[in-house]
Amino acid sequence: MYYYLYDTFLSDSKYQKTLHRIENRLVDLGIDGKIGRLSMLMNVEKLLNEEIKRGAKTIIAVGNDSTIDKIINVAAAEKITVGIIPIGENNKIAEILGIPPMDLACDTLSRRRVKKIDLLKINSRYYVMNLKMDADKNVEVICEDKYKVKLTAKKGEIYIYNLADKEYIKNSFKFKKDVENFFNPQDKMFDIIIKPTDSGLTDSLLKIFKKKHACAATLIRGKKIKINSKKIVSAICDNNNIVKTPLDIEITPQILKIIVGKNRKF
Amino acid sequence: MFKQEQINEKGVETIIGPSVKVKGNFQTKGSVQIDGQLEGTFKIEEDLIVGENAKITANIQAKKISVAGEIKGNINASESLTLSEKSRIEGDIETDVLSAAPGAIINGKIKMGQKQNLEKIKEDNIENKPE
Repeated sequence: MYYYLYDTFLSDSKYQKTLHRIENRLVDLGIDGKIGRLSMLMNVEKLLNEEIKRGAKTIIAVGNDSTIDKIINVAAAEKITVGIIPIGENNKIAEILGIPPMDLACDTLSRRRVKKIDLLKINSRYYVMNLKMDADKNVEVICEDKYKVKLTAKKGEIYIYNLADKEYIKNSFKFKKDVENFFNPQDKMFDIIIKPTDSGLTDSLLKIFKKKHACAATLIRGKKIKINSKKIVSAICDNNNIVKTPLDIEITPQILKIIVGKNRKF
Repeated sequence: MFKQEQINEKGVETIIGPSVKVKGNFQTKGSVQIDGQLEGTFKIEEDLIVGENAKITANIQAKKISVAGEIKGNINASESLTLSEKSRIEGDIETDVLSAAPGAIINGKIKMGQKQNLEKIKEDNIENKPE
């Protein structure tokens, strides 16, 4: 049984036509189901657990990346399959999973191509995509309890990726190497990127004249890390949730069953 | 000009960039490129590229090693070691094949041909085996 969870922003009248089109298409494909509408004060996890008890086997997040974030913790714990119907902006997860937007997603759902993917577990909560944070010399990344990595530059950024658009990564961080086998949510590993941030014009000029470091980023693969800092530093997970140091991060292998499209980027 | 890159950069699995320092017991299965600083022990199952700005204080073990930076520590390259003109090694070297460009500095003992010696001993043993 399919359970469709509509995010709060879809109550806006501008989405009503789109939702009607989606509902009609789901009926045509024979995969319609119960609809739940989120509101600000609703406890999503309680709602989903009740629907699972009533027999829901597949939960479809109708909305964006933030909607997926609301359901994955329950879905992973209860071994429930997740699907996505992307509407509006901030749909990076759906894009990487190869799910087309709005009513086109219904056809992908009906084909039911299910993959098991890894999730990032950050301070006991699951995330699909990534963590991003600013760092300085006081932030240390302890990898597999064996070695520490620290910035020597004044300022930088730390990224932990489970799922990513490889083309975007290659262009953004100017890696010379082939990243085809990286940033894969089925490889039971995450990828850590540590990159210095330019401290202004002087750095940029130095780079041009000295032609130093085409790729200044560090790339390490891992399964379990800790991020500590002398002062509390905030990080953002899946472009949506803020967490604070100290951070315990580990990969949870193939814990989420998710419907993907044939144009997925992994 | 001396050609440093014998090792395919595209196949590198770990990159230690110029803006980080790694301290501890670093072990990995894939090839590694180091442009930053490293202190501790360092064991990799594949190849290692040490960039011009890299500073390593560690004993190193890998298959093929290509060095353009500084290493303080013993090096064990089971297949080959390539030193470019700006490389500086303060430690003992053990490898099968060594190529050093003019200008490369080595302060330590060099032990070579261990693998070939072992193979020769094996061959001799086979030949001299009583029937």
